[in-house]
Amino acid sequence: MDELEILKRDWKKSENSFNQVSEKDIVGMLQKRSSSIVKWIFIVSVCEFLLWISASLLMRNNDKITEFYEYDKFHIMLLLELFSYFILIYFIIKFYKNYRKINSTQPIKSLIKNVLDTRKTVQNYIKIVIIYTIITTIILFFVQFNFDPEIAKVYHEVEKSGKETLFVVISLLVTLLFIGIFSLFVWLFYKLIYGILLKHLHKNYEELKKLEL
Amino acid sequence: MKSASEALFVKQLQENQNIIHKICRLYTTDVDSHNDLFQEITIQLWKAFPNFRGDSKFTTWAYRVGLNTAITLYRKKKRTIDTIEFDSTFHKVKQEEYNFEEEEQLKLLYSAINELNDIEKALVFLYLEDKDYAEISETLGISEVNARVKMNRLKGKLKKILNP
Repeated sequence: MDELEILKRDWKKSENSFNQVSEKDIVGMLQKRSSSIVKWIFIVSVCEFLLWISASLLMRNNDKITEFYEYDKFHIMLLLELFSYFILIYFIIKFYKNYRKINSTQPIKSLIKNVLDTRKTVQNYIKIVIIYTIITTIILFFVQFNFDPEIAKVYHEVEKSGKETLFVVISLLVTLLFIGIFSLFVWLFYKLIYGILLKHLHKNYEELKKLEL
Repeated sequence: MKSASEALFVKQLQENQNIIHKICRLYTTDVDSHNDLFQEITIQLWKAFPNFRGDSKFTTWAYRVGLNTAITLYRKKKRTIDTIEFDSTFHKVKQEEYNFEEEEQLKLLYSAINELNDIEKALVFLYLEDKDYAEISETLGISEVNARVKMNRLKGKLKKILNP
């Protein structure tokens, strides 16, 4: 007899070895909360959106920013802010649409892909936020240099000593360093969340893709 | 208050619960994890139940949701107990007609299966459940040809363990 037939026979025979769960137990289970990964992804993602929204609202109430609005003659800040809301809404809609696509009755491969896509939407949002922050900071840096009365005063002082280029370069470098540290921190944070939540999904998806080669 | 659909669901699941137990056996290594996964699959089945249409069999549908939960949705909890209990649970049934050689072969096979990755386990499971390639390919979301190729390789791999 084929060795695997022995296995199949044993497998079928062992069917009667399970402790049977009663209808009452099943009803009890239905009251329990799911600990599915999709639920966690949803919670983590919503938290991320909330985090960025509250970060931008906090920024909005900062005195420095209010001052900035006063000398920002070209309304750059306002435009950037509107743009950031546009990005946020776009990603929330996309996230929700992907989330709705997750359905436990689809083929395994599509299910894993949909879960990973949902997560990827949030990851892309974070990437855009980082890029947006870098670009915004650089733009604001130059606006501030040209229009902030306090910085203008310092700049004039430095100009007298003839080291204004060095001053601009050093200020820019310090700003970039801060953005660099900020981005690195955010990136590490997401790597960590990703690692915990999605490692085995990525592995399984790769495995399925390998089968199609 | 139990609704009519809940009563129907509970009854069907109770009658077909061995499908879920078998998936749990394949994807977990201890009793607590087995029960955990069983519960999660039950919850996922219940969540999907409103979309379950009578045009497919309850069992076919349960295979799909069960495997999806075990492979994709279920978050394994970290446990200290590992692997040992996997094959021991299989031998309770085999007290009568004890065949030492067969017993050894089964032990080897089950521990080999335990080492497989999640996708390979799903293939072995569907094979052991006598599913045809059309259903296997549909469940996994890969082509029938690829399912066949992979399954043959897996069978070869398992046979090789027995006849090195």
